[in-house]
Amino acid sequence: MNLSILLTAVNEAADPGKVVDTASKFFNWGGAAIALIGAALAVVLAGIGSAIAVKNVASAGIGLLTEDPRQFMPALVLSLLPSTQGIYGFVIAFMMLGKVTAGMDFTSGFSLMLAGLPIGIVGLLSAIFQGKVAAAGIQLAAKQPKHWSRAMILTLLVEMFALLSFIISIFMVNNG
Amino acid sequence: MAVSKMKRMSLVGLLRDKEDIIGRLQELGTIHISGYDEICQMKEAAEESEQLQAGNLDGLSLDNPEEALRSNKEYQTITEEREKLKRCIEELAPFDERKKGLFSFLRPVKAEDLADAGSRRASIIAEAERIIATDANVREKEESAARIETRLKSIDVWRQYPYVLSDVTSQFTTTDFLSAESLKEIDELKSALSEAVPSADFWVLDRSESVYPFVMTCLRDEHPAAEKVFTSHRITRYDFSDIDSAPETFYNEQKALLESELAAKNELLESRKTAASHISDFELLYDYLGIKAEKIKADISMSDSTVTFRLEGWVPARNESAVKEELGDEFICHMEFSEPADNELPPTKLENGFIGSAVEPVESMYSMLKYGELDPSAISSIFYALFFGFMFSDAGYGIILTLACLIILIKCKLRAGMKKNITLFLFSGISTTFWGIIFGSWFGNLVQTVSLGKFAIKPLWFDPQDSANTEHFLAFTLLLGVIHLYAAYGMKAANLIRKGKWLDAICDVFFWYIFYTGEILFLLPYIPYYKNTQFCASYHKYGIYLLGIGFLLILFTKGRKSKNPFIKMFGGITCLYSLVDMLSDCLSYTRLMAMGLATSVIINVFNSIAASAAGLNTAGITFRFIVFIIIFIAANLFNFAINALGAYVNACRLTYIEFFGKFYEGDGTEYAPLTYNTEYVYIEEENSTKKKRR
Repeated sequence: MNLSILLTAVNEAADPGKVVDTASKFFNWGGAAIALIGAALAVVLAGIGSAIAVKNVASAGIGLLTEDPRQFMPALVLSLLPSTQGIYGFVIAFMMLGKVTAGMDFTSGFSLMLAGLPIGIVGLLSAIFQGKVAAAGIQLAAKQPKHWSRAMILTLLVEMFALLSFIISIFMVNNG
Repeated sequence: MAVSKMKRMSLVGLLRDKEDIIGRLQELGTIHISGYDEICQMKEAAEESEQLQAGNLDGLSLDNPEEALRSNKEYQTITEEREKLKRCIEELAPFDERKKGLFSFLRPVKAEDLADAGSRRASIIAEAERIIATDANVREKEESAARIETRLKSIDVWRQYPYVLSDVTSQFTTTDFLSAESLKEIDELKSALSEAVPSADFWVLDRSESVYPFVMTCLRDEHPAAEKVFTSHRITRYDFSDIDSAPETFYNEQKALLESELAAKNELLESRKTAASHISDFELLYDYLGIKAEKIKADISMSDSTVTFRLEGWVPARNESAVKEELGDEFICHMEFSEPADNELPPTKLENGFIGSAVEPVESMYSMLKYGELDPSAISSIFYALFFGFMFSDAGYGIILTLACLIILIKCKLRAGMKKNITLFLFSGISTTFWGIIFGSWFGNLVQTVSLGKFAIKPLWFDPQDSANTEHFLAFTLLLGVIHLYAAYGMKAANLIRKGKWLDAICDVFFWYIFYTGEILFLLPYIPYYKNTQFCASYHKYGIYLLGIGFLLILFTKGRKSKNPFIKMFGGITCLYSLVDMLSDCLSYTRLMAMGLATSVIINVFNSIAASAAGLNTAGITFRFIVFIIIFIAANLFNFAINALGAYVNACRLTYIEFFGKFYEGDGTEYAPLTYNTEYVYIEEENSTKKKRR
């Protein structure tokens, strides 16, 4: 049963006339869908990055807490730092959703989608890398509890690049 | 906004007065006693500069005080006792019924209370040891209960077995207690054993708790062969050789034992609750011993002869006369106060007013200011609050933060460091409110959401979320950045001028101002907001001139201190790279925009989620509002926490890297006078002693 549906679909797709028809329909009406893909990419990629990073830092933080439960503050703050990328992705996705209209054409949909990419891609990678720095910061907090704030500042150096992408994404959303 | 002027103090007193003098110094709380490292440095410096006057530092013994501390029995006892007390205080904290808030506050006590705790030292320590012993007991009971529980679990499936467990092994046979998860597995085992262990005899009991317990008896000689077969099958073996009763009896015995262990444990825990009443004694004694430990430390860092002792330290210049008067009147001693020599580094004591002192903890996290450097606290404090507010930028949040800080500051007696932190958050809260009003954010667009679009609070300046204003917003953050960076260079110039280096101030700061101003004007047309404006076109031209003039000035002056003629001439060529530095520094301030937008966009998102979840737009009945308020509060708590943290760390970063990075030398020693360093209590001064001291 399922197979026959699939075969019909393949047959239909193989018919050149129909493909053009579907494609033109898509180019005419698919703008909103493409834009939504962009919004999804922004929030999903940046969110994945932050999730991975926070997981790594928080696990290291729990290691630190088992040794010294009083170090909760450093563990919490360092774990939270790489979560900003996820938030940036969320903000961009939300700003994009505000721009998506039902009948938007392909070009504007596509340019809106592109706006999600800077924060999506850089957010993903920078969060993971920031997570590595923050996890190293947890080590510092374990050995030198008084100087963990320096680790906090060094961790922010990585976030700079996510910030720049975030700003560019904002501009692309607003101008797209 | 200043670093307190310090004087070096040398004191020679009689050994018999030593303890009293240390006690008095501790009460005065103004003398920073030089430790081992510092005395070594001072001695080296004095030798190097050949300023070593007769007997100036020779009398100081250089025994390592840290080693001396380690071998000091009294100090070691105190340290051990304080550890015990700390452990008790922490363990009893959950049962402490005294009012406690989010922050730990210092409790006011009288000097007599402390002395009283000191006199009851032995009994308080005995009580602490009893509590620690109780804790060990509790743990023991817990472990034993856990052991019994495991035992109960393993015996549980065997309760239908009617015979005494240890009674099964005879001279010729061996019996194993086994269990499998299915009858099929038992059959497999049987067939596997049939060849190797022909004597094997099985008794399969009824299924119990999803396993089939069974007993296997075989000849003693054949048992090793049976054990080999066991390893290749999924069966569990039980060891009951030490149980001299039938499983049911044993089970009941163990159950009773478990109950009694748990009851004993609960009783111990109960007794810990009542022990919580001792917690204030523990705190008192902890601080009393802390004060005593400080005294011992001070004692050890001084050098003794047969009848005299000698102290080296630092005292704020304005306290000089008070110290002289206080000690000179009461004790036979000789004191000398002198200005710090060029090669000496006195400890840094920051003296700031209400505004400047707030940022001191943030500053000291970076590095302690070097003595003689200009104290940037007041300026840093203002910029810090400004940036924090800009990134948090919501009037609603700002008012909450301000009120919370005000209440804490008024109501609670905080430790000095915590008080400064809260003051900084107070300023940040005010600034947050200010920017919130400027950008029209009152819990985001709460008013608009709740009134279903009928009302909206207009921003005083512009709404950064409006896409028409994005460029404007970015340009403004860059402008703030330039002001901050210029202030940093201004601090650098002020530092140089203070040291009398006018030429350096002109070459290293003023010329750079010209250079950077040129760069900024040159780049103005590339900033989206200023693109194609008349304003920009004219300044762009001046920018090129300034950039050229600045470049030439720096090119010929930057290498002025080098002896290499080539570097002297063209050392400044590297300044071209600084153009990139300046640009990246400015771009760093775009975080203000990013964080600011993130806060307000997220509040708006939460507002609309709360509104649609509660169905506010359908009909306005009370129930919907309650749902709305619950979602609103939960979402905003999250947003408040995460963005306050973001604003805090990013404001720190701008202060440390962009601002301090330009001029702050740091690496100073913190002024740590001999005083009452307490953790739980503070000694309330009585009016009479206050007067006397003044």
